[in-house]
Formats: sequence, structure tokens, C-alpha cells
Amino acid sequence: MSNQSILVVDDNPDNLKLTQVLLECEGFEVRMAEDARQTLETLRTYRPTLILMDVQMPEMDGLELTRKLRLDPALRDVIIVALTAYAMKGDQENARAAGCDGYITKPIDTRTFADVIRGYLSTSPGRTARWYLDRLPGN
Amino acid sequence: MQGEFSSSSSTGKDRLRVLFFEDNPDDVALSLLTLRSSEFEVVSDVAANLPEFQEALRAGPYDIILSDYRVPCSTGMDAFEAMKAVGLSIPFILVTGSLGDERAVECLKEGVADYVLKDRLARLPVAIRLALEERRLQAKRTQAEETLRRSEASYRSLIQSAPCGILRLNAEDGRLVEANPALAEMLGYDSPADLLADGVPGRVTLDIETCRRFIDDWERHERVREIEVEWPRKDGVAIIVRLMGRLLKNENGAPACFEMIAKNATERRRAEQRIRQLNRLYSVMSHVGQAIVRIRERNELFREICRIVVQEGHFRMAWVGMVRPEVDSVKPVAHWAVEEGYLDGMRTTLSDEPNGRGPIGTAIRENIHVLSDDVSTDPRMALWRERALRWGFRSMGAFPIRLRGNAIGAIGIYAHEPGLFDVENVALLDELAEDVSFALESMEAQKMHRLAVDELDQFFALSLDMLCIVGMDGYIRRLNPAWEKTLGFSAVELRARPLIDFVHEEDRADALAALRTLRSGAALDRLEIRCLSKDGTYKWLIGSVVPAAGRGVFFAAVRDISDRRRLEEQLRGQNVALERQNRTVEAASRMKSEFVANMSHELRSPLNGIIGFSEMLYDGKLGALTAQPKEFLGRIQKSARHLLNLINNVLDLSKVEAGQLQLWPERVSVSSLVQEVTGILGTLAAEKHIRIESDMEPGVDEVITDAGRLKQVLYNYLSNALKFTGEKGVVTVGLKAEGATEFRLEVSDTGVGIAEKDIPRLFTEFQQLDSTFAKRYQGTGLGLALTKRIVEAQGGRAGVRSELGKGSTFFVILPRGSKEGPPAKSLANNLVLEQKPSGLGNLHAALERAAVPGKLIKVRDE
Repeated sequence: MSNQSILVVDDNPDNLKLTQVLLECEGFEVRMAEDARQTLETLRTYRPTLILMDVQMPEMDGLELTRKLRLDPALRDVIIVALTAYAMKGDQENARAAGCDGYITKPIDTRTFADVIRGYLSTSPGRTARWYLDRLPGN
Repeated sequence: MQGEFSSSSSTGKDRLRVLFFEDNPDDVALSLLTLRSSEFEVVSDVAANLPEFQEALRAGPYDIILSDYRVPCSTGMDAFEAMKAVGLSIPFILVTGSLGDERAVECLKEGVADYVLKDRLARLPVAIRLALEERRLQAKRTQAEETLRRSEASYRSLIQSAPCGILRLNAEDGRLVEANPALAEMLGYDSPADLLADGVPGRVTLDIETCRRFIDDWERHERVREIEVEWPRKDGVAIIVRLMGRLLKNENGAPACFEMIAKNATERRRAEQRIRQLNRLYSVMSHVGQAIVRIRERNELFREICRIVVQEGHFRMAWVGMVRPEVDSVKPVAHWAVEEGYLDGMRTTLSDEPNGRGPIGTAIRENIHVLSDDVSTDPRMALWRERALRWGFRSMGAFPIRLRGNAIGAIGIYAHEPGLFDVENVALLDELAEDVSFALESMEAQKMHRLAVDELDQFFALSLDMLCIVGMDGYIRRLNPAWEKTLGFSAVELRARPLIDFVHEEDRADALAALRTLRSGAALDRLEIRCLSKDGTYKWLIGSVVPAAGRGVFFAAVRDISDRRRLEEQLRGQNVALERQNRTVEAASRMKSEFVANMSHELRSPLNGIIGFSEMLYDGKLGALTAQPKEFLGRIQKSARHLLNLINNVLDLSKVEAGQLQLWPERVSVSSLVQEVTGILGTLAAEKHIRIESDMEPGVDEVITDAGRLKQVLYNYLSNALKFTGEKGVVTVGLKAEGATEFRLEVSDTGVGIAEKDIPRLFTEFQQLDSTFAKRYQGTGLGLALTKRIVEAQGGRAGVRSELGKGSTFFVILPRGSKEGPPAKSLANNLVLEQKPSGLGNLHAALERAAVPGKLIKVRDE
């Protein structure tokens, strides 16, 4: 478990820091990215087990980035969990449709966060992604 | 033949055959000599004695006999007698020497033609001539007499055998003087003699006046005149004799007698009378026919018919009675020539009693004509006989007048004489009654028709729609007042031009196409065109037109739809505006949603840091803490959570307003929900020694609703109740059914209660801006408003009952949901949070602590 790596994508440095500290306390390896460009850059050389994707980001938002990532067959097995403020109707459908395997609402509960992450990590990876990929036109 | 001259001789003289009765040849020679120089050529024979004479006569014929007076053994007179004895009457001339005048005259008296003295023989030719002449004349006379006699005989036989009567009447007194057998027979006598003998001359006669007139006429015109007389037969029966004849005058030229041909004109007169009568009846029929066409009012028609019957038909009188069933009688409604009093005294009924068995009553009751050919002998007319004779009629007929086959009255026709109601007459009168019946029905039909037309006319005039009849030429033939009311043009103006002139130019093509369709016989349904009004504007009209086959016109109904069109235009405009508005509103709404989304993120993000970090520090993840830093961190957290709660409420409200509130109905056990919330708030209750009780009605527990939202509501109410209840108070959570489809969740406290005037403001989100209000009910603020909104968004309602000083009961009423569970699909879309059941409980509790609206989603084994 402890060699499972998580990439946290969030435009807010405080949030990034918080998440990083929380996860590292639990023994996870944590990488960080502040925007889409950084994310893509990191993914070129680093393969995380799970990506925590903040949805509300300027320029390219988290879901769009997720869609983009899902197009890459190499990332099919990566678990992507959306971090969303859960405001609007249809947010989770959007997340699912974009290719996320789940979502966590903000502000996060620090006391249960690790358990939640572990839960995600124990699901068979790529199941949802496969479902998503199956429904892409051309497949 | 005797007495005829023989034909001329070859010498041109008249040939004369002479027989001499002379014994002296010299005398003969002398005579012959004398005759040689006369105009006669004589061929003669001589007889010397009587036997020779007789024989010569036998040989005959001779034109002249010349005889000596004295011949031996006889005289010339003997010869004369001998001649006569054999029936001859040859002219006999005595040629004698001495006769003596007396004797000569005697002989002449005997029949001798002449005598010539021997010594005056020169006279012989003359005498012969004279004698021959006389002979000739005599022969002629005799012939004439014979002819006359023969003709008289044949005339007589003609008269005797003539089929018509031939008679002679004395011209002066008109007496019958001669009659032929036919006349006798005509008058019933066996023979003319009987007729003449039977003192008849007094009866079978012409009156003096007639005689004189006849004579006068004859003198003037010499024309045969016809007269008719009534003469009695032998048996006393009178017959009509038609006489036709001439006046015979006597030798003096005075009128002698009338010679006439007589014919029995009785039959002919009867036939003539018959024809006249039939003609009268036909005339009656014809006039009645005209009256039927001309007169449209019932009683007036009846009266005219009675008049025609009497005046044209030469009847005595006529009247018409109509049935009045309610009083069981017949009422006279028309009459002619009926004198005052006749009808008054009569009471005709329809019932089968004596008064109803008269002709009129019977005719109506039995619907058949009733005739009485001779009132004086008809037993049925016994009751009316005396009146009949008084009023001067001898026969009558009653003919029923029918309406649709039933007798509703009758016409009574009365005649002067008996016998006027024979088969032929009655047939005509039956027809008359039928014509009248037909007229009545026609009148009624006309009345109905008029009523119907009136009815339709009313609607035609009343109609708010424009109605009209248009000719093939496009001009209006007839129109109702609605045209003027709608378009402003008068009827005259509208009819002055073809209708197409009033149609808007742009619509004319359509109108003409419609006209073509109509001309081909098809109806036109709902054509919309613009029509000119008097004020110059155009009105939209909608019309339906139907051609009337065979009448060359169209029927049109047209309605003013300019209002409707205007409304449509308005609506269209409004729609456009609305759509624009919609777009604006949609844009606004979208902006709102975006705002909420943005705010949600913006507001929560910082709290993520605040709560997260302080939590981590508080939990000692970065090392142990002393009491005071820990306490301070705790306060930081509390404040942060409070802030988060407020933010969440505001966002929720915004979502509700933006229509963004998402509800997740599912099967919920209210009691377990109550238990949880009570558990969460248990510490707070314990601190104030407040007892939380529950009052759950059984059978209402399972509902379908959004669990998270219900929990939110309950938490809101319960925390408020705990806040406002003093030490040792009681808070009760109640659940009961509300009607058949809803449930009621209540939280009652024994707190300070709420003033009535403040209640309305409780559930209103902006009201807590009032400081006094806010101070009094601190912290209730958004929660109640949001509760109300959320509950209402689910189709429920929220409210409070309170009494100052006693306590309050806050309640929500929500639908219990349908019998079926929430659709499985809605759950399938949810994302998996946890696999382990134990983890669920923790997570749920954790979420609650954060007062984050979360949702519990069951794990699916997939």
C-alpha cells in the first residue's frame, strides 16, 4: 500500500499543502500539480496510482483535463477521483461522464480522508475507465 | 202517243194522218184537195161505214178524224162515240153540208172539236189547225193534271210515311187541320183521324199570338221559323214539340194554313237541359278553382264557393259547416242565398241522433257524401221536409270537406228541383269537395311554410354573422343587416358592385380561385380574406360558401375575425417578446447558476484549508498539543464549521431559487433517522438536562423522501428546540400520518415560545436582518427559511404553533411518496463510496459532524 502514489491536482496552494500533508502522514507518496500543463508534464514521466483532481480550476477545469487524460490508453488504469465543491445538479454525473471513478466533496474531512482514499485504491482499477472507454465513439 | 204530232215529212210540211169517215168519195177528194195547199202533208184513210171506221181506228194512229155527219147507217156522232168508246180522243171534226146550228153546238158540247161546212171547205185547214192546237193543249193539260195528280199522290204518300210529324194548322186560329200518322203516334193516338177527332183541335194548337207572329215573319222574310210548343199526349203527359214550317196562302193570297214538320223535342230538350246543367257545373268547378288560387283565407274561400255554387250553378242555396268537436256540433262558417233564420234554427250534431242523421251531420260523421234526390219523398229528410219546402228546395247533397283524409266539415248544396243529384253531377260535386279539401291542406302547408320562412327570416336578420346570397355574376342578391353593422356599407352600396371589388387586392387572387372552385360545384370552407370597410380600413373575414346547384347562386356565411387576427398578431408579438424575455431570463438563470457554482467553490475552498489544518493540528497529527492550544484550535474549528454551515445554507437557498436543488428520494425509516439526529444532539440535550422524547405513530415509519434533507430539517428543528428550552425541559419529536398521502414530523419544546406577531417572519430568510428579531431568535435565521424552501420544494409545507411562555411546536408535512420505491436507475448512477458497511457508518457520522449535506448511498455488489 505504501508504494501507491497519488497525484494531487489543485490550483489552490493551501489545498495542495493540506492534502499533501494528510496523505504523507498516512504513508502515501504524493506528487502535486497546480494546473493542466503541470499535470501533463508530470504524467509524462510519472505514473500515479490515483489522481485527485480538483474540478474548479481556471483555464482547463478538472473534468476537461480528466477527459483528455482518459484518451490516453496508457492512463487507463489510473484511478481519478474528483474533488468538487458539489454545488450544482448533475455535478457527479458530469464527473462520471468525464471519466472519474468517484468524487469527494470539499471541504474534506481530514479524519476520514485517508480511509476514503484507501477505499478507492482497493477498487479494481480502470473499471469505470473501461466503461467510459467502451462508450467512446469509435470503440 | 195520242195527240202527238208525227215528225216532219220530207217536204217540210207537217205530216198529218187523217181518217175520213165519209161514204162519198168526192167529198173526201174535195177535202184532200183543200188540204193539199195547206201546210199539211196529208196521209189519209177512208172509212165508209162504222165497222170500217172502227177497224181503221184499231189500225191507227191518226191525227185528225174528218167525219161526215150523215153516213149510211150511222152518224158522225156514232163514230165519235165509237172513238171514245175505244178510249181515243183524236180531234174529231165534222165536215158536213147541213148540220144546223143547234145540232152543231150540241155536237161541240159532246166533245167534237169543230165543224166545217162543206161549202166552206177553205176553213178546213184552219179548223184542223185549231183542233190540233186544242188537242195539244188538251194533252198538255191532261199531262199536267196527270203529273200533278201523281205528284200529289207521291207527296201524299211521303207525308203519310214520314218519320216526323207533318201537319197543317189553320193560319187564323192555329187549329190542327191535318196530321200525318207520325204526328198521331207522337201524340199517342192510333191514327191521324183519332187525333183530329179527339176534341184535340182545342189542345193541339198554336195560340193566336204565335200565329200572328208566324205570319208576320213569313211576310217579312219568307223564312221558315222554328217554334217549340208543349202539347198534351193522349195520356195527358205533356211533350215538347218542335215545329218547323211555312205559310201557305190561298188563291187570293191570304194566309191559309201553316204547313209544318213536327219533332218530339222532349228528349232533346231534356238533353239540352242536361248539357246546360253540366256546363254550369263545369263553370262552377272552374270558378272554384280560380277562387282556390286567389283566396288564401279559409272562410272567405268557403263563402266564395257558396256564392259560385248558387250563382253559377243555379242552385237554390249553399252553406259550409265546420266541426266543433268540443261542443259536438257543426258550425256554419259560410253561406249563400240562405235566408235569415234558416241556419239559426238548425242544430246539426255529429252524434248519431236524429239531429245528427241529416245529410250534413251524416256526411261529416261518416266521411262520405250524402244525397237526397227528392226531399219530399226521402224518409231520411222527414225532420227537415217542412223547412225544405218552405225554403224552396226539393233536393240536396252534402259533401264532406277533408283535411288529410278526415272530415272536418261539409258543404251543403240545395237545388230547386228534384233529380239534380244524379251520378254525373254528384261526381263533379265530389271533385269539388276534393278540390276544397286540397285547398285547405295547401293553405295549411302555406301557413306552416310561412311560419318556417318567418322563423328563418328572423334568424337571417338577427344573425351576428354576415349572411348573403350571391349570384354567379358576383353581385350580392340578398344580405342581412350584419353586413352594414360590420363593414359600415349600406345594402345599396354593397349591392352596387361585385363583391370582389371589396376584397383586398392581395387577397383577390385567392378570392378568384375560390370562385372557380365554387363554379365547378364544390363548396368552400373557411376562406380568409381582407374586406374593405366604409372607413377605409380592411377587416379580416372568414367565410364559408356553398353553391346552390341549379339555382345559379351561392349561399355565404361570413364572420368578422379582425379581432382574432389582431389578437394573433398581438400574441405573435408577445411570443417574440416573451421568447426574448425567456432568453434573457434563461441567460440570467444561467448566470445565477454559474454564480452559485462559482460561489460554492470560492467560499468552500478557503474553509477547506481552515478546517483541514486546524483539524489536523487538533488531532495531533503534527505532534501533541497542550491544553490551551488545543482549546483554541477547537474554537477555530467550531467557528469554521459554523461558517461552513451558513455558507451551505446560503448556497442551498440559492440553489433552490435557481432551481438547482437536487433531491434524492429513497426509502427512509423516519424513526431511525430521528434516532440518529437525537443521538447527534444528545450531548447538547444532556448538558441542559433536557429530556428528548419521541412519539411515533405506528405504520407511518416507512416513507419515500430525501433522507439527507429530512435529516437537515429535523436537525434544524431539534437544535432550535434545545436552544430555546430551558433547564430540565422536555422536547418531543412526533411522527404521525397526515391524511392518506402525507406524514407530519413535529418537534415540540417547553421553551419560551414565540410571539404571534413574530411567527410570520420566522420562516423568511431576510427577516433576521432585523437586529431585535435576530437577537431574540439568534441562529434560527437561515435554517428555518431553508427548511421551508426545501420542504416546499418537495411538495410539503412547514410551520409552527406556539404560545408565549409555554413552548412551540415546529412541524413539517411531507408526502409519504409513492408505493413504489425510488427508481433503481437513480441509484445506479451514484458513485460508490465505500465497500465496508462499518466504514459507511463512520463516514456518515463524519459527514454529519461537518454538517455537510451528504448522502448515504448503499453499496452495490457489482
